[in-house]
Amino acid sequence: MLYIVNKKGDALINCIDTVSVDDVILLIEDAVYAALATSLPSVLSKPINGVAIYALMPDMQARGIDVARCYKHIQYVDYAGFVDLVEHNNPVRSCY
Amino acid sequence: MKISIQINASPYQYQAADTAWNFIQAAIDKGHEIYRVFFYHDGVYNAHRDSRPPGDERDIVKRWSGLQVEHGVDLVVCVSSAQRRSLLEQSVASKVGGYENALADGFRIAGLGLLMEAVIESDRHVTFGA
Amino acid sequence: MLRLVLKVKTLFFIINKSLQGNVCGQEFLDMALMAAAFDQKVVLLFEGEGVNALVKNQCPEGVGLKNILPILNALPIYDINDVWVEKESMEVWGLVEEKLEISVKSISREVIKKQINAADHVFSF
Repeated sequence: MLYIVNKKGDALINCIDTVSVDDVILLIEDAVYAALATSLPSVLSKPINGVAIYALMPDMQARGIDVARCYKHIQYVDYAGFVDLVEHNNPVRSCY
Repeated sequence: MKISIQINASPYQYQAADTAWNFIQAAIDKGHEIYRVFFYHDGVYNAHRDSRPPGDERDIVKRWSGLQVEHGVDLVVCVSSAQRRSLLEQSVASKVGGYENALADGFRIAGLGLLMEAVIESDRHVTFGA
Repeated sequence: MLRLVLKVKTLFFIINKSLQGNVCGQEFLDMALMAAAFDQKVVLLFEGEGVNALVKNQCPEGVGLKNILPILNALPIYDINDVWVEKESMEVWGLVEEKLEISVKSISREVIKKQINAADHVFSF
């Protein structure tokens, strides 16, 4: 399953509560702040077994978030990559 | 692949309409078919004909209308969500009264049946919310 | 009503927040009812904070809101018989099935997750 999460806080915390192996999380909009190593609450500080975590790069750039300041286990996609994640994962759950 | 899109949030106050727009452009560029965009909850405000943003800002409503003209994407506004939020079009206004032409060009008004039909016919259904 | 349906899909409708306070919960339930009218396999899942939406003795009329409990009570009429609550969320919020307005199946997070993974579409609001 692909989780599309658009804010940190409850939306992301609930998502982390229910993810399981082979799931994918995509952080979009204000949720990209959760990729920062200084983020509070630090729900993404550790890799989750079998779960790939992506952040949407255009939303990172829009907010001036430097990849160097983010957790090393986060991966990045642009909108084309976002479409690929939707194509390759089902079902898709939006968390907001 | 056939992808349908649902937009649940009002424009400008939330990024949903912008994220959906960028997603749709990328999907079309990759050769996917956008089967339908369904506007629900406060998402119906994306269809308001009288939206007049300042000249240096993106015109979200016009952008949707253009998507219909350029790519023939079906833009459907939920009738019950719209009625609650003062967006009537002619067929509804003639029954309940009120301003007759609130929907911008390229949008049509319909019931939840068209959402379900899109969900059933599409390989993916992606929702963008508040 | 529009009847173009050829396929039956499994659709999960997940309620993980309050159904009170705005019209979104009611409009969300409308989607599930419409899916059932289209003969789709509908599962209504209450998880997280959403389990509180099922408690008895809600009186939204007191603050001028529409009561949606009649819709929940009418779910079997719409052929929506899979109403699930996440067991762990019930425990977190200190709820037991007897305290709920309608009859539900209490299912563990792990079992629910396997079922969701096999669904065609997942809706949330």
